[in-house]
Amino acid sequence: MTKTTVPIGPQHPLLKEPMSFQLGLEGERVAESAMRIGYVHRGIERLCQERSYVQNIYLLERVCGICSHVHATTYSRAVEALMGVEVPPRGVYLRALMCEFERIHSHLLWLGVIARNIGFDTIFNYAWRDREIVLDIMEDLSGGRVSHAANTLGGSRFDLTDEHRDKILEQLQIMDAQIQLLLGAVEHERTLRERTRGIGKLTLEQIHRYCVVGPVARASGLDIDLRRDRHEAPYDRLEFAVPVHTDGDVWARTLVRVQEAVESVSLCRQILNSLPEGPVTTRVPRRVPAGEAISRSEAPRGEVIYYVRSDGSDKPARVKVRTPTLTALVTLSEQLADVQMADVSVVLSGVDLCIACADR
Amino acid sequence: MPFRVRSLIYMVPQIIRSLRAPSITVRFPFAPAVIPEGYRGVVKVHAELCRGCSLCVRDCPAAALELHRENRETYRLIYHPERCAYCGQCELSCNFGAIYQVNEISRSTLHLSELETVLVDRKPEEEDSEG
Amino acid sequence: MELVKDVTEMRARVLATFAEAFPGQDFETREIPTDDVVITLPAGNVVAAVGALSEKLGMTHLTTITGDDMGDEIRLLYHMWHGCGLTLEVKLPLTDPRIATLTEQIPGATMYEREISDMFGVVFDGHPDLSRLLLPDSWDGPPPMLKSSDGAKEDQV
Repeated sequence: MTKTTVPIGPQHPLLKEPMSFQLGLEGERVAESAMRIGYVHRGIERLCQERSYVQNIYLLERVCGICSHVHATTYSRAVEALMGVEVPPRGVYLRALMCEFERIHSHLLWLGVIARNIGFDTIFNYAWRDREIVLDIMEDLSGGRVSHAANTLGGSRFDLTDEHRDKILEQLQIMDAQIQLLLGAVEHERTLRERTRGIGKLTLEQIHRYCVVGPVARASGLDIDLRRDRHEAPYDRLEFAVPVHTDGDVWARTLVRVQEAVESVSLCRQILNSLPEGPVTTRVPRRVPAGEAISRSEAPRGEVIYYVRSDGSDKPARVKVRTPTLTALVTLSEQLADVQMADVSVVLSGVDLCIACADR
Repeated sequence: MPFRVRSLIYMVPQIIRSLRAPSITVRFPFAPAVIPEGYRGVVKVHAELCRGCSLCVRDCPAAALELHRENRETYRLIYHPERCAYCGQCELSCNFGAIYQVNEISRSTLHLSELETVLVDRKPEEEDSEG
Repeated sequence: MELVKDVTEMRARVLATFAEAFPGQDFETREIPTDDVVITLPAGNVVAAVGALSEKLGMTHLTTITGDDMGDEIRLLYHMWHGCGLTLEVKLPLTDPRIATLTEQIPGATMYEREISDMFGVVFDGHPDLSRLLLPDSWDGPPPMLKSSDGAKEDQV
C-alpha cells in the first residue's frame, strides 16, 4: 500500500504548543511517526548561570505556564538545601497548598483539552469553568493567575488570615461538588469511554523501559508518587490516596488525573485546617556556599528534578531542569503505532504534553 | 437508569447554575476594570523613603528598573513597565518599604517610550530640606 | 517494588553491588542534599554499573543525565531514583568527549543523551540517532552550554 506522509505541526490547531510530527499513514492507520521538538527552546539553563539566585526563581517559574509554582518550589528547595536553611513549617504548608491548587488546575485544564479533542465540548466547558474557581483562589492568594511568584528563598511570599482561609474553604466546597460531577461524567459517559478505551496503550514493562513518571505511569500500574514515597513535609502528616489503574490507555489516564484532582481538593482542605502557626519565611544568607544539591518533587505531570551546583559566587554555576514531559515524549512513537488517524489527537493529548517544559 | 436520562438529570443543576450566574465580562474602557485587591500590578514608590541603595535594581529579574546616579545626593530611579514581569521582587527586596505594587494595570500606548516612568528624581536641595 | 529507605542504606547496597561487579576497585562517594549519594565511576564502567544495578537491586529508573562543564573537564551525572537518589558521576575530557550509550539498557535515556550531545557535544557511541533535539537544524556554532561558547548570536535567536 502506498504511504502518505501527514505533517502535524510545528503550528497546528491540534497542538497547543509548537512541536512537529511526521506521520506515515497506510490507509487510515499510522505506520510510522517521527517527532521533532525544540521550537520553544529558550536556553533557560544557560540563562540561569547568568542571573542571581533570587532572579532565577522568577525565570524558572516561566519554564512552564501551568506548573509554574512547582518549578519555583523545587528550585528554592535545592538552593535552601545548599544554604542549609530550613523553611518554617507554615511556609512549607503554604507552598504545598499552592502546589495542590496547581495540580487541580492542571488536571482540569487537561480534562478540558482532551474532551475538546474528542469532540465533547460540554465536559470542556464544565472543566474550564470550574478551573476558574481555583485560578481565582490562586490569584487572591498570590496576586497572579498564572505566574504566582509565591516563592522566595526561605519560604512563602504570601500568608493567610483566618477570614481568608474560611473563604477558600467555602470555595473549595463548590469545587468539590463540581469535581465530583466531572468524575461521575468521566466514569459514566459512554462517549468519553468509547473514544479513549484501548488507545495509546502502554504496558508496565514499557513504563519501566522508558522511565516514565507521573499520571501516565500510574495509569499503567506503576504505583509511584514522590509526595508519598519521599516522606517529606507536609505530606507525611496528611492523608491521601494515590490512584493507580492498570489499563494503561488514555481512559485510565483520564481516571487517574480526575481522581488525583479529587484527592488534591481533600489535601487542600487538610492543609488549610492544620496550618501551623508561626512565620512563613526565614532569613537567608546573601551568598550561597559552594556545593551541589538535587531536589525532586511531584509536579502535576510527574517527577520534576532540579540539580543546582554553586561555586560560592552569587550566581549558580549550573542549574539542570528535567521536566516530566520529556519522559512521556519518548513513548509517543510506540503509542502512535497502528492507531487510526482520527485517534492521533486523543493519543497526543492523552499524555498531557507540555512542550515548553520539555524544550526549556 | 438509561444513560441518556441520567446525563440529562445531572445537567439540570448546571443549567440552573449557569442561568443564575451574573455576567462576568466587564465592558472595560467604559466601565471600571474589576481587579482583585492583592493583584500584583504596576510598581509605585514612596519617593521620600527611597535612599537610592539600588537593591531593587539588582534583584529585578527583568531589568525593568534603572538607577542613574550622578553622586550621593543626585539620582533617578526609572521604571520600564514594558519589561516588568510584575513579580514583586522589588517590593520584597526594599529595606525601607519605599517601592510597592498596586492593583492597577499599566495603560496601553502606541509608543513604548511613553511608558517609561521616573519613580524617584532626587536632587541635593530636597535632601537638605529633609535633613 | 521495594524502595530503599535512606541514603546510608543506598550507599551500602550500591557499593556492595559494585564490589561484586568490579572486584578490586575503590569508588569515591559523597552525600549531597536533599537525599542523594554520588558515586564516581571511570567512564568505561557506566554501562556495566547500570546493568548491575538493575539486575541486583531492580533499579531501572533513570531520572535524567546532567552535563556540566567544570572548566577543565565535562562531568556527566546519571541521576537515578529508587526510594532515594543515586547519582553516578563520570568525568570526560573537554576535547573529543566520548562515552558508551545507555540506550540499550535503558531506552528512556535516548532524549537525555541527545540533549547532552546537543548542548555539550558529547558523543554517545552506539546511540541509534544522535540528531538535534533542542537546537535548530541550522545551528553551526559550538555546543552552547560549554563555557567556551558565548551563547547564541543575535541572528540565531
